Amino acid sequence: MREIIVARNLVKIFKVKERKGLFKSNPKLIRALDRVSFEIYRGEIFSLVGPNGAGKTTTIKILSTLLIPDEGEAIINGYDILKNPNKVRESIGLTLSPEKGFYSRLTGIENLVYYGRLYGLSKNEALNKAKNLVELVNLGKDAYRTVDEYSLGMKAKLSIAKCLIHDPPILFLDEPTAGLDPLSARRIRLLISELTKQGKTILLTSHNMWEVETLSSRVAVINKGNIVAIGSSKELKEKLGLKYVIEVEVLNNEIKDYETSLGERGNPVIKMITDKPNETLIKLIEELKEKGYNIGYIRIIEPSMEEVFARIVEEK
Amino acid sequence: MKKYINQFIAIFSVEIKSLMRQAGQFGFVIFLPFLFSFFTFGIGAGISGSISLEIWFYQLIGFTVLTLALIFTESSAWYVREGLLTGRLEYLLASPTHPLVVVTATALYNAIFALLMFFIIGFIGTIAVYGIAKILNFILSIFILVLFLLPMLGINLIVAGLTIIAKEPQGIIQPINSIISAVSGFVYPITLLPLFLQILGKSLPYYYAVENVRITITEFVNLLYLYPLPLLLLYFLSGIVIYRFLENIFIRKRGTYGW
Ligand SMILES: Nc1ncnc2c1ncn2[C@@H]1O[C@H](COP(=O)(O)OP(=O)(O)OP(=O)(O)O)[C@@H](O)[C@H]1O
Ligand SMILES: [Mg+2]
Repeated sequence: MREIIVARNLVKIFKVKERKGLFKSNPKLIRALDRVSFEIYRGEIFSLVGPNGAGKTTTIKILSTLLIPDEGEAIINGYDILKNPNKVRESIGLTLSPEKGFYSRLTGIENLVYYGRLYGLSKNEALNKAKNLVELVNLGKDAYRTVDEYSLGMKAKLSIAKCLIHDPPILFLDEPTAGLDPLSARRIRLLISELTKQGKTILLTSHNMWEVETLSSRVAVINKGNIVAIGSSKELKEKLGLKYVIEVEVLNNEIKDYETSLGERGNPVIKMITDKPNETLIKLIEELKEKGYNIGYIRIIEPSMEEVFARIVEEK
Repeated sequence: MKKYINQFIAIFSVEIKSLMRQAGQFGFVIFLPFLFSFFTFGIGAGISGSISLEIWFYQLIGFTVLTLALIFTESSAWYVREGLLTGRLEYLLASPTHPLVVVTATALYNAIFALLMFFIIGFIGTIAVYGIAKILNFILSIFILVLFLLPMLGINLIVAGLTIIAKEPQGIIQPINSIISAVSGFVYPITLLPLFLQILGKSLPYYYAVENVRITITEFVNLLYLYPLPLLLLYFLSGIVIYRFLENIFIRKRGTYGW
């Protein structure tokens, strides 16, 4: 079976109170998820993106058995989240917010051993695993300091190590790079793509669209509790008809038949806007060759995921 | 089974480690019953003009079991509150840890703390008042106390469950503790109370705990006084059921993780 995670028609309704003054309050229902369905394939990085409050964390909490959905079902690694929650729990590693979840008076290693043993490892198994993991996430000597002294970056590394302690096939990472400096974020990203090479399946959420695009094989856009688009970033761009820009620098000074602008190196540059970059580019180059022009640099400027995000979310 | 043992040790050992690194608490708690019993003993002696070591001992044991009862009302509530605040509860619930393992591990950790306190204070008190004559009785009284910790644990779990709703446990703990302290006969006989308070006291486990401990030390285990124990164990069972119910409704259904 290719799918390792299947979510079908998940609905989650929260009952909240709208406060009115000191004593009055109106009960109100928030439909955090409204029939969310998707599939995640074995070994892929699948990203869930959407504006604040769209339902990303709620989805992750339902899939990790922390929340019981009001409707719908989900199968994780072959187990039903409602009928077989403990098997589901053993199959996943979870990070919710990287800075939370630790005993601050204990060291990084001690925290990892604690979590390892919750998953049934013996003391030695947990300790050995923890030592390997702090090397993997590059925590080094800091692993032997107490967590209350940690920076956010160290905690982020520790929380990735934490979700690997029982070697689960699936990881749920909810904004693992939020608040990190560019270098720390890059290290976490490298680690994430390293993990898929080891065969892990990863469900990722992030507000960094560039990160989502570089890491994930498929993306789902969620808005107000609905999945509004799903596919690889390339598919999403094509579906939305987002335009690519093609730039071809021509080394000859005199050009006929094409509109040009002056390029960075003082040569004329042909710019074309297209939704089929490959075909357009090949055709253009063939034409230019036929006409005897010399070609300098070639560049394709892709529309960003940010644009995809903006289009989808603002449209709805 | 091996899995559950590992889970048990995990919770038990981190709680102990956390506590150890928070120095000073234990010494302070041990000091209190001595302080209070001397204090009330002094007042009593001053008013009546008579000095009796037995009365001091009565109050020392009373204050010790009281302190222990107070610890037992609130300990799990703080465990829950800390868990909500730090995000640890979420990860605990996302792991395959058996709920009963969590309950027993945190209870044992509290029980050891409480019994250690009872042992040190009770031992000093017994030797001081009765010499070595009542040492065997004192050892037996520890076992009696352990039995009566179970219904207290039930109340402890109910308070923990209510903490999920209230977030801050103080508002629940304080009224409960005031009632417990007033109606359980820790420092004066329960018969001095108005009838309805006596009934309240006799429907809670604390009165039986302190009375049985005293009787065991001064006389011997008296089966006549142990009769309410099976009934009191209902506190223990309902504690587990109510906690699990509240956890399910308020955490897994309503998503009350944290603030
Ligand atoms: N325990 C709760 N009680 C009431 N409402 C909740 C609860 N948890 C989430 N919600 C609501 O459900 C909706 C979805 O929230 P969720 O945390 O899933 O969003 P998100 O996509 O993760 O947002 P963000 O990008 O800000 O992390 C929001 O409207 C939120 O207010
Ligand atoms: Mg979120």
